[in-house]
Amino acid sequence: MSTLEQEFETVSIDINMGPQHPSTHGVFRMVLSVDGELVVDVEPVIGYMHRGGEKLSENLDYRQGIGIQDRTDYLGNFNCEHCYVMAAEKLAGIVPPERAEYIRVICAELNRVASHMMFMGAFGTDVGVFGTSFTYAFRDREDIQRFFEELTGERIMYNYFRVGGVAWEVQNGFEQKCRALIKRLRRGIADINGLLTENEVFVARCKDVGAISAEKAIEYGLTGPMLRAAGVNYDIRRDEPYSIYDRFQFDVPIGHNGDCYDRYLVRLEEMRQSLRIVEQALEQMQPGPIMPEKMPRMLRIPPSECYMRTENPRGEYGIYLVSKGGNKPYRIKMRSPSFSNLMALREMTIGEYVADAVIILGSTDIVLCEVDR
Amino acid sequence: MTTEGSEGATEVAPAAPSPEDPVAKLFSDLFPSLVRDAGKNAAGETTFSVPREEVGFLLRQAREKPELSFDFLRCLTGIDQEARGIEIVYSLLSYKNRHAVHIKTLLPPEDPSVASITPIWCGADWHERETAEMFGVTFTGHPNPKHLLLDDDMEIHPLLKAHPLAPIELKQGYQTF
Repeated sequence: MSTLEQEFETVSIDINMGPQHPSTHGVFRMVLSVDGELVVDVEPVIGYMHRGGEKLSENLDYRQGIGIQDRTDYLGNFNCEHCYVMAAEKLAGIVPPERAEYIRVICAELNRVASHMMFMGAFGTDVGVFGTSFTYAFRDREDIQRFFEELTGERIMYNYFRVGGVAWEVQNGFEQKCRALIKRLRRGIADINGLLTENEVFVARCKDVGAISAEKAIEYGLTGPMLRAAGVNYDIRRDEPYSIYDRFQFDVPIGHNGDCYDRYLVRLEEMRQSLRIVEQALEQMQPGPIMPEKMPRMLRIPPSECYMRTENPRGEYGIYLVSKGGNKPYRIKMRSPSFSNLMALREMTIGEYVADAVIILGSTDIVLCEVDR
Repeated sequence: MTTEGSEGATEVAPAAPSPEDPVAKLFSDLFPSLVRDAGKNAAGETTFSVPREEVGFLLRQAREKPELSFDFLRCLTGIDQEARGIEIVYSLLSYKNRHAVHIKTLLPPEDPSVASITPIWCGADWHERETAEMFGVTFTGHPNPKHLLLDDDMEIHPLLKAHPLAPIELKQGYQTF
């Protein structure tokens, strides 16, 4: 030991990051304890966006509750709506018509692409590609949002799915427009791939940063791209198929190291696979009704309960729905993927450089509205 | 689904526990005295109740026994059953064996506490903290029993049925007209 180290006792310093910080992707605070450049401890502080969505849902009927789902994950709205309406349908014993299922899957998969586009833009900015990744990703995300706006009348809070089906028939030329959109998105994904995947700055800052092992990932309850990047081959769409996902051919991308770079690659490939699913859905979709014939004006659900889950862009979104009769849920628990993914932040960040803390947080792709609900 | 003979609540979901249900059979063979009211919920998944004193033991076995090996705690939630107390539901999935189960336990209203399962799954940490503040439940042995989503000085338990919607908003300082 050198005399320098003997003479000077080092003390770790606490750095407060957030709640208002451009890199925290929302209202999130983390207290970093640093020893020089190394992070020795992290304390994530959440709850700034808590709006009591579960309590509010208990006081709204099943149709109104769909609006709360939009506000849970504002980047994967259709996926959240999908989970909620499927849970209510499961309890009420309603089977939605085929066409409604296809429309839902198309919406949910395009929503996944839009969400991952947001990740690509924001993550590129975190890493140091600055505005360029945002420009490319948002050009395509905007394209999807314009498509959704034409379909639902809303840019973000779609509120389009209903218990039993969807709210209204799709617009004229939906299929042609969707196919043209897929074509443009494929080009967009290729652009992002060209911009980031082999970008030297990007690779240097992401490879072997924030790695987590498969065992730890499972123990923390990581799901979605985070889990698959760690090497666990599990996708709810394939392994516990819901809706009509068993009718589509798609691959589930898997990472090996569980680091930030693998998470990026998994998401990039997931976008391509989602477009594949949309194409197959367009192929198989037939004209028909979009709501079951006999739907009550006010839905009342007999006493029962179930846990419904969907594969959201961020991972497993689950709804534990309990009904005791009547037109409102007795209890609704939203198990949000970001919540569990963020819990592992401590595990991933300790021992890394303080400059990488932002990248690790970015690679978890959190939505704070969904963490806090 | 279990309702444990409560007044008012009627059972509609598939009730009779079929002897073919493999997950329920696994548990009732291993722990015949602990598994109660085995059945299925509306989604066709196995549900059963255990006494709250045995939750820690049973969940550890559920994770470690190779034929069970529930390695993923997918959800932990509380349900306010009013006079009967608070029901805690542990939803588990096994990546290895690809089966799922929901294990319930009822905490009496006079002493709503249960052993923390953070030593078994570290991912239970925030789920337990959230359930604790929302329902006023104590998870004994939790390493960091602070508020998670609510303010530190908030003494309310918003998800209890006894807690009305308006006072939350008043407490937060919203104007009512």
